[in-house]
Amino acid sequence: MSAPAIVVEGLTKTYRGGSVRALDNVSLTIASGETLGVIGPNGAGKTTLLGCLLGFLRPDAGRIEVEGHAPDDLAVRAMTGYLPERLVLDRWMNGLDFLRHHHALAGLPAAGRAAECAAALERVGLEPAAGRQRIGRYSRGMLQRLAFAQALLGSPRLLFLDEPISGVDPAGVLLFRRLLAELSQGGVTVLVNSHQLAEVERVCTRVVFVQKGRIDAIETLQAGAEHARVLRVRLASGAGYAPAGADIAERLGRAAAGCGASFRDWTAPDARFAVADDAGATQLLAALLAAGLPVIEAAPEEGRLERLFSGPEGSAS
Amino acid sequence: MSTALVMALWRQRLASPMRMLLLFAAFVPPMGFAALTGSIGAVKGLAYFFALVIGAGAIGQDVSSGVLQLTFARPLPRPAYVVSRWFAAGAGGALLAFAQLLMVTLLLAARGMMPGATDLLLMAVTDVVLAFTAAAVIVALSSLLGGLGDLAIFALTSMAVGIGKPVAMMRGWTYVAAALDEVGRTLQPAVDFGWIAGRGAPVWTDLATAASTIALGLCVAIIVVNRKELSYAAD
Repeated sequence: MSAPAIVVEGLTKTYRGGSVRALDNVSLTIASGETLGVIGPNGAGKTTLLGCLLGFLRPDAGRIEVEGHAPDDLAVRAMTGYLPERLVLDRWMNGLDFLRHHHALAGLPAAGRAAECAAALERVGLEPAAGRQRIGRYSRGMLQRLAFAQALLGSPRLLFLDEPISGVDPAGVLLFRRLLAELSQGGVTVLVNSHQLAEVERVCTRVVFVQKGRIDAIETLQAGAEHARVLRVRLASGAGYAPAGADIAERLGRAAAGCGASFRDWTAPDARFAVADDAGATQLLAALLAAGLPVIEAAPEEGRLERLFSGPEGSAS
Repeated sequence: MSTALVMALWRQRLASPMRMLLLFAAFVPPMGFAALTGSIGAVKGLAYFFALVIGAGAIGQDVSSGVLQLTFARPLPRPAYVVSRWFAAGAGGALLAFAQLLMVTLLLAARGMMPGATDLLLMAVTDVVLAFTAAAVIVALSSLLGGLGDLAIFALTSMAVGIGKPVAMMRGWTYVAAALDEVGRTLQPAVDFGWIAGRGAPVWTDLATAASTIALGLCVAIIVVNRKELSYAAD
């Protein structure tokens, strides 16, 4: 593990005179260049954790160090990009004005301002015409992209993304994945706070599960690995329906291969397949039926992060 | 101070129809009145109003909307944010007052009633002091109250002073009248720069009151903004 970018020790934060304990003795180390996901049910303390890491909230106890500085140090702010969950941007500005405004607030040189802001807009897939449009007229997806562009200004070394793909269309999700992969390759430390478990699983190298103000679990993932969905298919096993026992695995494998899916295993009466997406799942089911296999049930298998949520303590709302 | 924040406040105000309407109402009709009466006195003291209109909600609206969080994610010291907001409101008020004074001067000159250079200079200096005093008052109130609560509390306090002071004087409540007078002077210091032109002696207490209102307003706003926790989790 490389040098830590962020060190959190014994972080405690309460509200309403101590009656609400949002964070309770949280300790965490985030390595430089790591992409860390923060997940947990609503009210678990994720936003408070992010607020403390950004220096927006004052902890009651504990220590936070970001690149060796206090989180509200201006040196930290100069190397940080932040995409907030609530996109309350200056709605009276147009997109380019907004980026120029933040470029100036970031203390970046005015000389390259226009070009850098136009490039940032392009990087998040917004047309130049969108840059001339008032933010008040932006769709949710456009707002998200603009806020992302704002966060990327000045090539930050630390990026805090709060629900980055909330309300984003599939093309935006793909763009988000690509940008995050680029940032990760560039050694940027990224913290993603999200409820989109599949995306977190796909882009993060590690995930912390926050529950009742504490870190309940830390999962190490393989960002960028193939995160195909696993589909569990049940075949009829009653008299007259049972597929020929010995060659079932071969038949399942053939049907899957014919439609781009891959056959994992067979434990009667269930077979497991890896499919790329919903369309892949539909094609697989059609192929299985066409092959004369008596499919009676099909359901996606939950991911690792979903299992965290559905554990004994998990109660995502 | 951040030039970006100053410019942003001005541009935001230009994009607000209600504020533009208020500024227009305080800009154009008094000019006509000045042209009719042949006196620049008709536009005296309006710098204070201009600064109030520009500065209202300067901080409170950023807090209420949530824009402040994104602003403070940038390497910007919080005192610099407050000072920028104050300067934007004060300078905006002063510039509008200057523009108004210039147009009144041109109107009067066209009618052969050119005001004296000394009067114009005194008016300009007074406008600057009034605008920056008003800006400090409204920025301090804006740091304490969300949205446009600053304007509401300013109006209520001014009304309380305006009504309460004569009532207290009539009833012989000397201390109440003196206290209300003090509040009134703090909110809206009376400044007279006639001494610059050799008209009487300087009134140092008035100058000190204006300076202390600015200092107090900025201190209050900086302390409040510095202590603010910026996360909806804290709500």
